[in-house]
Amino acid sequence: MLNGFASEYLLFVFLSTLGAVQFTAARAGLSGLLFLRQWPRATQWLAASLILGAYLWFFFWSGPRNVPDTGDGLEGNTQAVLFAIGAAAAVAATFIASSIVNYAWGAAAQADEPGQPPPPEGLGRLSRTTFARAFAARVRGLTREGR
Amino acid sequence: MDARIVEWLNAGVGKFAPWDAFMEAVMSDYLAPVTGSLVLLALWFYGAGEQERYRNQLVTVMGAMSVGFANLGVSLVNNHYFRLRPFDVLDVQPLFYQPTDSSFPANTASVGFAIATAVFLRHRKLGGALYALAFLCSFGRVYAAVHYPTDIVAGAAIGGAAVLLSWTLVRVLGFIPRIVLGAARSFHLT
Repeated sequence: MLNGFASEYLLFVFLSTLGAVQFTAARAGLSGLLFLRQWPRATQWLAASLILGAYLWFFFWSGPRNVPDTGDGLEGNTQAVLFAIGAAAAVAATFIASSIVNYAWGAAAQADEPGQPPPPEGLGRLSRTTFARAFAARVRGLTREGR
Repeated sequence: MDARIVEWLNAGVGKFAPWDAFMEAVMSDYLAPVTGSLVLLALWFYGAGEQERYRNQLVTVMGAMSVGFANLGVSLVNNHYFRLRPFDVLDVQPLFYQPTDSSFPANTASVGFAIATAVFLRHRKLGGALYALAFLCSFGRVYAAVHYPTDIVAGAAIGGAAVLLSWTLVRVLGFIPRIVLGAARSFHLT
């Protein structure tokens, strides 16, 4: 079971990763990953505020942070594992939440229109559709290839 | 010389509370590693096109490998050499909790400088900002008499060597990240 310090660290990593992914996705034009797809500029400001807020909360408002790992503090390996868990949870939350929020847009954008260039591969596809739709299309493609 | 620098810097502790509070935040065990890791993670998603994103993702992979190698390097040195912390042997004012492990080399410096160097190879400004953070964190630790300056220099050197090793491995065994990233790309993860 996580102690208070560890849960606060996990929440800090989760929130700041959420902000970092939103900020970067907005800058890179990965609209399918945004929670506020129509407002990429506002997303960058909100994401930066989320990161700043998470830092201020963790380091200045939620208790002393210079604590030894013989007490409540986190030992290096635990810190790395908790970072991995918090960051993975934030990326997964981004993929799921953005796919739900942009559900209708993803369907319209995914349809290949004649005359349009072929959809980009990899993360680039998320400039045209949501992660869930792109992932599902890939799985369907693999199933078809398998038959 | 090492001890004199620590004593000279530490003489400033307690003279200006806001500065001490700032130093306590920047030298924390969490600020530099989390910030560096967030930058590495953000680079995974960043890039104008597929090629640029792939190169950024290689930086993420190299940065993560470098952190692992830096920690390994510090552990190897720690197994053969133990140095007492400045606060153990000098008459100084504490500003930080008192770690019990070896002072030499500085682990936070090795991780901070490893991430900064990996990012700097591709993004000069971003890498420069991470260097500044690693430097501030290291300065804070000397100011608080947690490390000697030579601990920091050794830590930074280990961090640099870790990046060199990762960079060499990525170049020599470049087909492995290409295969892994290529497989992840087909599921829109890279």
